[in-house]
Order: sequence, then C-alpha cells, then structure tokens
Amino acid sequence: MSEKTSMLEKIERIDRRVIYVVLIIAVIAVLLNPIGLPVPVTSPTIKYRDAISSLPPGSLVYIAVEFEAASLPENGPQLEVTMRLLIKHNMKFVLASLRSGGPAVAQIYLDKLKGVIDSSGKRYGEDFVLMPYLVGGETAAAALAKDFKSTAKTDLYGKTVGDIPILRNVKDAKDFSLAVCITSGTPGVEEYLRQWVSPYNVPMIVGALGVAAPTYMPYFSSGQIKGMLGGLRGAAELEILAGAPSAAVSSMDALSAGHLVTIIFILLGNVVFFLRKREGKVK
Amino acid sequence: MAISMDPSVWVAALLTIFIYTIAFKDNPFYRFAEHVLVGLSSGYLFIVTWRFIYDQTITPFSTGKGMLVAGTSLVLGVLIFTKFSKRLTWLSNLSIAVLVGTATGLTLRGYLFAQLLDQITASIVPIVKLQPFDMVNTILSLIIVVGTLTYFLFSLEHKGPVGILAKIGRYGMMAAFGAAYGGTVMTRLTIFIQRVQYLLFTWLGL
Repeated sequence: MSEKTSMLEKIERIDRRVIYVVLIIAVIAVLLNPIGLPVPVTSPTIKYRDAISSLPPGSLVYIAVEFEAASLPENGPQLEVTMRLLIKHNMKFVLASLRSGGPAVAQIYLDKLKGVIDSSGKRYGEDFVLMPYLVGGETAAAALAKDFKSTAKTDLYGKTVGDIPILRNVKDAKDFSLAVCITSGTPGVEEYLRQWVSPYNVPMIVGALGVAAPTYMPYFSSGQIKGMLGGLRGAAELEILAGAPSAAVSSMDALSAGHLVTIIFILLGNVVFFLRKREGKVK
Repeated sequence: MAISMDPSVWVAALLTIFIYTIAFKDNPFYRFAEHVLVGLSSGYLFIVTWRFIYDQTITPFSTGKGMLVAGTSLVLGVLIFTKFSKRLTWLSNLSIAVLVGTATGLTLRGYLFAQLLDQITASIVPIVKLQPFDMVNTILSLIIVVGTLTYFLFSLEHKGPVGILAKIGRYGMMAAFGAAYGGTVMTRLTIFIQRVQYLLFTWLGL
C-alpha cells in the first residue's frame, strides 16, 4: 500500500521538464517520420471556401492581415492558402493591416507566392495591392470603411492610391465583395464586425488562432461570420479543399502527436488525483 | 540537404534555442534573446508609426491638401506630451477627451448592433424551420444560456429547479473553458512545431 502511494506521489510530483522532454521527442520523431493521418474537413472551413468560390471572378476582396510574427505559425498558412484560393478563382485583393507588423508578414507570403502570382499573370497594382500599417485600431477600421482613400493615402511603397488601378473605384467598404480577417486578437474580428459587417453588410470570413476560434463560434453560428478557419488545423483543411497541401498539412501529424502527449499527461494526472482521493490523501 | 550556411538562419536558430531554454531554467541566454526581441520590436514599431504620422500630418503641409485636418491632429498629438509638465498637464486632457470620446462612440454604436442585437436575433429562431441537427444545437444553446445566466443569479438559493439549471450552466461553462484550453494547447504546440521544423529542416537541413 505504501509502495503504491509512494509511486502515486512520484507521478503527482513529476518535474514539468520531464513532460517537455517527452513532448520534444514525440514532435521530432513524428516530424522526421510522418504518419500521414487523415484530416477530415469541417463545416466552418467548407463555408470559408464557399464564401470565396461563390464570388464572381474579378471580385474585389479585402484581406485584413491582423497578425504579426508571433502568430505566423498559425495565421501564416491561413493567409497563404487564402491568397492561393483567391488567385485560383481569379479574384482581386487588397491586403491591409491595423497592426504594425501586418504589412511585413503579408510581404513574406506575397514573396512566397511569387511563382504562383507570376504564372497566373497577376500584376501588382492591378490584381492585388499591399497597404501600409494604419494606425488607430478600431477608429482606423471605421475610417477605412467610410472613406478608404482618405484613410489609406498610399500603398506600402508610397504610391498614391489614386494611381493604383485596383483602388481607382474604391470609395468605401461596400465596394468590397468580401472581407477576410486573419487575426491573432485585437484589433480583429470584433472591430471589423462593428465597423464593416454591421453598418455596411460586407460578408466576412475569419482565420483565427486555435485559442480564439471558440470565442468566434457564436458569430459563425449567428451568420455574422460566413466561414472560419480555426488554427493550423483550419488552414490544413483549406489546403486539402484547395488541392494544394502545404505547410499546414505537413505539420498536422506533429500536432496530433503533441495533442496525444498532452492528453496522456492530463489523463495520468486525473487518474492519480482520483486514486489519491480514494486513499483519503487528497481532499 | 546540408546544414545551412546562411548567417541569418543561424541567428534565428540560435535565438530560438535561447528563448526555449526558459522552459528549463532562467538563464543569461534567454534574457539576451528576450532583450533583443523587445529592442527590435520597439524600434520597428517606432519607425512604422513615425512613417504613418509623417504621411498623415506632415506631408499635407508640403502638398497643401488637407492641412486643416492634419494640423488639428498634429496639435492634439503634441498636446499629449504636456503630460510631462505639471503646469500644462491639463492641456493633455483635450487630446485624451477626443481619443476616449471617439473610441467610445465608435465602439458603442457598433457593439449595440454587431455584438448585442445581432446575437440576440440569431438566438431567437423558430426551431421548426431548422434541420434536425441544428434544432438539437439550438435547444442545447438555449438551455445552456439560461443555465449559465441562472448560475450567476445570486439572489435565489441554488436549490430545486434553480439548482439544476445552475448546474447545467456550470457544465456548459466547463465545456466552454475546456474548448478554450484545447485551443490554447493547439496554438502553443503549433508555434513550437513551426520552430522545430525551422531548426530541423531549415537550419540543420535534415
């Protein structure tokens, strides 16, 4: 009995660094030897894809790049696959950000997709454009929606918006057929819901961090958000739907391995807790 | 593939390792990487913000267009710095009043429709018109919403039907917290996996 208790005590007091080592080994092992687990596609991702594919070719789409380097691993693949899909369906898009690091991360993915952009015949300024950081958070979002050109006077490279063909006829938010908000927090979904969706009826789809996805589900259920990508998993699902498996799909096995380790330790912790409780050692 | 010879890849790889050492113990390598991150972020933010301020408030004076708006913004912006003077600090209240007033007005207007009325409208749907799965989902949502609100009803003792509803609300909240925790684990793991991929494939060339 005392030996058993001592064993339970040891498990209960396991050093957190042991858990980290097990997690590191599991992730590295699976990254070096991929298993190829299936990735079932969920309804919010299908609706995200449908919101894009149902638009007529040549439609103008606003992409809010509301994330920075810290959330690149989750939001980055979401942005990449969204742009791939927009190019595939022959859409035009405007990349803008209310975050200081937004334009820089957007530039990373434009550079990454240079081959796809060139082969599809898309040209900067005519089919897509990258705007600079717009200071002001929600106030800037409201100003953009009301008067786009007075708020964003130049593109990232200093060219006046009046001289950029894709923006020539843009006055306010109503000139966009769809808003895509890829976000890691604030400013993000709520700001665009308040300043773009509700007052101007612009349909919006969202790419969210895994941690934030449950928070945005009520907006998806109510129809205020037409589709949603939840974390890296959402990006992997869209990559599969788009027929272009890339960074997100290649990480899914490692993510599953990491989740498995986490679940095992949660179960272990709970089993030990209840065994100790039964012995009357824990209240 | 062989190990990378690109100095920028080496810097990124070493800084990644330095940052993750905090998981084991606080150390000078971690603190060095942390200070580099904070310094670079602050410098970058200063430059991009300055560029925006320059374009919006200084450039109009050279082009002669929109000088009134630019001038007003510039004056309000400069007044913020009177916070540093005991005698003139009251002037900064003007700028803060404009900031707070604008933000509150914009947020409240949008909040009322986007996050209150639209959500309530979406909650009140005739279930007979829904698909069977959505019907179950809607009924479940209704029960959990009422249960959660009952849980925070402290003027009634949580006994009998009120107690049952409060318990349902508690389980609903636990499910929501569990989903949020699951999302947190996924986000943190994704960041970790991306860095491990960088170390293994981009840096070490495995």
